[in-house]
Amino acid sequence: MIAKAFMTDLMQGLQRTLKYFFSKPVTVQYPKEKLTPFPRFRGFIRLVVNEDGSHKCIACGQCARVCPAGCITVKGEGKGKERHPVVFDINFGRCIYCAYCVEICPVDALETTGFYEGAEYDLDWLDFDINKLLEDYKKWERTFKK
Amino acid sequence: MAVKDEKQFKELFAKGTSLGKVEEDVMREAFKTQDLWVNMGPQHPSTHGVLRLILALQGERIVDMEVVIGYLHRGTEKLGEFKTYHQFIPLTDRLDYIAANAMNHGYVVAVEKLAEIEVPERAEYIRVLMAELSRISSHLLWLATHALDIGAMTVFLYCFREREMILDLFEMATGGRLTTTYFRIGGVADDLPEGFIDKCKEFCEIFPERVKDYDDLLYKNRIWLSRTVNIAKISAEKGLSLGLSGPSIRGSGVNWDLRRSNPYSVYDKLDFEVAVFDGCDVYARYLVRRKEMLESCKIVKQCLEWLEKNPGPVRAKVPKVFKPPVGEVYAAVEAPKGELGYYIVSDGSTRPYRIKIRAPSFANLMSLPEMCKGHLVADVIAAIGSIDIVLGEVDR
Repeated sequence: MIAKAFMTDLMQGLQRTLKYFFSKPVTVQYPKEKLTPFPRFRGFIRLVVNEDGSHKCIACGQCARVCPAGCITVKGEGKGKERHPVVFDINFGRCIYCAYCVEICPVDALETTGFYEGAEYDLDWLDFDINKLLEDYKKWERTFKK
Repeated sequence: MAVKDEKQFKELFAKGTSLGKVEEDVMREAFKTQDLWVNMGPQHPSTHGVLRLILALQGERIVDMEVVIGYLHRGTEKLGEFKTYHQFIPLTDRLDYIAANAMNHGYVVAVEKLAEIEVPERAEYIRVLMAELSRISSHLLWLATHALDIGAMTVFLYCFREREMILDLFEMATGGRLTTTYFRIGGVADDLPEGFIDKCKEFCEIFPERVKDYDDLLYKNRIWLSRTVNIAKISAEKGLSLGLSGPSIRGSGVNWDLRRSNPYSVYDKLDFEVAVFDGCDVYARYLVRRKEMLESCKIVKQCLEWLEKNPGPVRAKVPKVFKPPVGEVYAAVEAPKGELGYYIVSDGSTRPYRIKIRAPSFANLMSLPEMCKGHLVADVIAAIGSIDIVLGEVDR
């Protein structure tokens, strides 16, 4: 009865919130602040080139076959060691970021990046071709203009 | 109190006596009232997605209820017929997107049973670890939104703080925060990264302390109690006959947990208690989930201890495209929402002939009208919260 009159049950809760009132907030103020994704983070997919600038990709087409969303198109040219991709498209509008393509690639020609800001008005922008897949994705990261 | 006729009703009404559950027929007779049909959803914040309810009301009391689903139907089961066995895994993530690991788990267990694939023990432990972490994260999200619906906003913020820690752990190990796609047929995608075990241990240390935060705000809070105790009752018998499973049926005093009653993976080697409370109401379901979070935390600790001592392979050699033998299989796991079953029919080709998913949310939803009859409109929101549905799983 006394407990009820003094509202100990509610006071207990208020005590707890008061305690947190004086602690630092845990919120990250996106887009002013950003967290760095972990190395395994599956963001946009990127093509990797050799040191001399030639494609690592051998256009075997395994990535296109394993993709559950069917968003990769590969066409190759040449035979044996000369084989390289002519067309390599990833449609990030359809991509589900499972990174099966990265996992299956026999020559490690694909890699995941920490770039995740794929919300876009222009759907065509998300259709990455072979040149766009080689670019440094950092330049597209959104920054907060003060 | 049962009201016999108009006269008695008016007497009681004049005295200001609380009538309790008034017999509907008498009400109709006395005041010539008609049922009022009210539409709730699909864009209602407390339906946790796109659930639509049609309520038949007498005053503010619910006489009848109809559940309308299908607004989030994506045809996952049909899509499975056009994907190889591996390609279906990312789709299972998107069923119950709050506990993606548990959804993966059910599927891979079913396929492994069908194709008779042996899984390395370390992979099993990692799977259990991940599934339990997602159980905690699912229950945290449930507690957050359920409390928010009922009116306790602070809990929401605290729960999300802890959920963020789990999502960080997921990101570290799997690469995805929500759609993890970590499990593979015959194991998991990759071994745990360096530093994961320490970070996870840190979480296990902090978490029981943090549960006290939620307890302070809810456990004995009189507003919380008046909104949850004796609300949306369902008896064990009725619940079982309607196919209720998971924490919702354990809140009705049925000791039935697939992790104990039909152990899969390595659950038979782990030490944990099954949370059972027999209040049959919203509060009992809250207690079950609250205890389950703490028990899951214990399981995570045990898994971490084992994983530290026993390095080894985490993936059996299974080709990306394989042909399981002709046949059919049903395998079920205990997902955070209840019994999650996959029924797969194979015709011996690289793709499943048919996949049927026994989604716990879908089955649990069927007992919602039973729970809500005779209660007020505001209690519907508490009832929806208490059975913890995810519409991605209901509509598939």
